[in-house]
Amino acid sequence: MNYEYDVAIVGGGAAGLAAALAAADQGAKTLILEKNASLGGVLNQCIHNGFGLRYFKEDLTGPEYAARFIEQIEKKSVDIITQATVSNVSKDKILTVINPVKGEFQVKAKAVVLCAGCKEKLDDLEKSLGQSSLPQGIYTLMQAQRLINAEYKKLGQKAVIFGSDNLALILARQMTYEGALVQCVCEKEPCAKGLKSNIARCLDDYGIPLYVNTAITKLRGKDKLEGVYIAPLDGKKRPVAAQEKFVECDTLLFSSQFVPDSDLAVKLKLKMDRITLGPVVDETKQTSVEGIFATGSFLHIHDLADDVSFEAQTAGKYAALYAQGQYRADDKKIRVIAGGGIIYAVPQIINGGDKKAVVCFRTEQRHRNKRFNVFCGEDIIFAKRYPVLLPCRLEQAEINLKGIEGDLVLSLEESE
Amino acid sequence: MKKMICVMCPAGCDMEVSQKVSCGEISVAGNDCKKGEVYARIEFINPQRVVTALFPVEGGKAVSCKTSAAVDKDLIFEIIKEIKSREAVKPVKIGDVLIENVLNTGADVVATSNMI
Repeated sequence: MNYEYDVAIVGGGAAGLAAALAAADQGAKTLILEKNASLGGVLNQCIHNGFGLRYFKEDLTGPEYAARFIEQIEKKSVDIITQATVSNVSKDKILTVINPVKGEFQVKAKAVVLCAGCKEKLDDLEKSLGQSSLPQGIYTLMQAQRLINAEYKKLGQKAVIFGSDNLALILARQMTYEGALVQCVCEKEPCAKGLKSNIARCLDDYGIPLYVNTAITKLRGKDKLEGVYIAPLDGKKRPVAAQEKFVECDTLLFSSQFVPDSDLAVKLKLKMDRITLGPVVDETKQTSVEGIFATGSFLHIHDLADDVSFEAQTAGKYAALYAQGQYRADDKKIRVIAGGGIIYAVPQIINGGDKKAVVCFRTEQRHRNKRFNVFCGEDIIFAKRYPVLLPCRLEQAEINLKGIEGDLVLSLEESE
Repeated sequence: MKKMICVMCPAGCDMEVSQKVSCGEISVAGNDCKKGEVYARIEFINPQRVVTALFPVEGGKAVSCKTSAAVDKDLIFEIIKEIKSREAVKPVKIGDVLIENVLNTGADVVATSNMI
């Protein structure tokens, strides 16, 4: 065995950095394994501001947010190995790692925090366009963001963006800054998926049109993209052929679904959540395998780096306590169940005992004036009124579990 | 009359701001709360933005940068043009001033990432 640590952290992005800091703060001997050449993960390619408003009470860009954590980590005794791809984690916490200099080696840890982030479902693209081969000039959002910001590539002169999540909106502005004409942003759903503030700041500021209820029906261009045909969708989600129109573009940015990068979780046979597509965890972020924790977008897709940092702190702290023999989950388990109007809740399990626990949840659709209730049997043990609930925003509630023994059901109801 | 989306909270109210020609009085409609009205007035009179962009670095590279304060919205493209006309010399560190007092706005263009 080459390396022995209390806590091994897989991934050095927003989650890994915060988990490492928290573990080191508990006095645990901590190692970060990062697959890229430097720490920070996707924060490095998010050059826009809006990061850190909650965590640092400051408006920072992504790279600055990462740098704040890296500075603190450098002051602690945290070991870092970059260009380290973790190919396997075993149930007894032996990690198999590949690095171009060290070759393949193993790390033995007392606790592991999995925070390898998320990936884009690439098959979405071809399936959605119904084409087996695509002309040059089509990129997923993450690909485009990396090419522009990390490699400083100019993607094209005229662009169409398909999808309206926050990243799509931010890229519309950035491509405009890089000298491209963004012809339009198209969304097949009836309303944009991203925050309205991003529509204001990234589209309206630059006069970029947003077409909702609109699909891309065909591409033009054999080797190189020449343009796309777009058409509004009728009530049954079918394109209205009579209203189809051609939009010239040499670049198409395509938004596909983000899903946790679950390879390691699957190999470990962790109990998985069918909706989040990440592992099932308890309130300490411990998975179904003792001593293995999961956090960040590896656990469930996050919208804000600040949320990731807070969540990962919990994972890092408990991983350290577990490694030091100071924490073991008890046998009393309370299940947290997503009920009416709620898509999912994390954690899915809370250990018994009189304590407070933070539960995150996401709603199915946009809501105004709803009451969020947590039921235990017939009793409402927590309630909060939300003036606005959005699918693109993870919400959280701190629930007092004093005297609670049964399962919890979360649901929404009308509020006056 | 000017339409705008409020950015003060996730509700994102659709607002309409108008000004009477006779007396210059500004009125705001569509906002659910007081914060929206304050935002709409500022946005109507003097919209300002922090600009985040890529600053060219020798050898065909770039580092991310931002304006150290919000600048007039009308100046965004001129600032971008100014940024793209220059080339920083390595090494660049977070916080380095790349353009001082850009276009007399009082804000500097500063690096937000490192390049060795």
